[in-house]
Amino acid sequence: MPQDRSQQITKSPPALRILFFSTSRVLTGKAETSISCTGPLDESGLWKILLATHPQLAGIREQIRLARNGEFSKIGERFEPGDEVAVIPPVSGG
Amino acid sequence: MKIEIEIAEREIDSNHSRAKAWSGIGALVEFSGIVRDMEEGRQITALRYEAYQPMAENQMRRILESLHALYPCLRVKVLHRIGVVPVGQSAIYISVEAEHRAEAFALASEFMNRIKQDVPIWKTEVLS
Repeated sequence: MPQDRSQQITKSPPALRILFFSTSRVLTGKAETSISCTGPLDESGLWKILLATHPQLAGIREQIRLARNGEFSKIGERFEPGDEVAVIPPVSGG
Repeated sequence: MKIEIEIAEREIDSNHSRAKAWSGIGALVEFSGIVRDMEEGRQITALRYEAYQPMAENQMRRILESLHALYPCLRVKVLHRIGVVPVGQSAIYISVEAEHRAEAFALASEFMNRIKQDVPIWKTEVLS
């Protein structure tokens, strides 16, 4: 079951709030984390940090879409400090 | 088109979703997605659904608005259950009201295809 996300938020300087769902949550063992950054990151830069801190995601990276502030990220998307980023494995609703 | 969306951790009661009096409605299409007892050849007791709720609701609304341009309808209601949904119970319910049946069927069918592609909701099996 999803963990209590409120207990895992760190009160650090501007950071990206990263939410893990479904298999990404299972693999990382957490529902949420934060990544400190002082400026914008592109998707490649963000993935570099994500994989360094959560190498378990490497096996499903190609299946994952990222969302920024509730919208699927687009080509050239920039992730800014304070953004909420969702790690979205293949969906299976309905 | 009037759109109502609810994602909630409670049993779906579709009986109260129908419009009581809507002029111009000539078709009402309803669909319920029921949890089967077998999933990929395995016996299950339930499915557990989780959602990235704000985004899931926004995505559903966006999909419905885009489909409305193709299949003009009058009213759509979507109920998606999250949490544990036992076998035999409804995980999703959709009702579509329109002037004519063709657009109501088309919108309901296409929405169900799209929800499995672009709406951040996931299910996992609860094995017996």
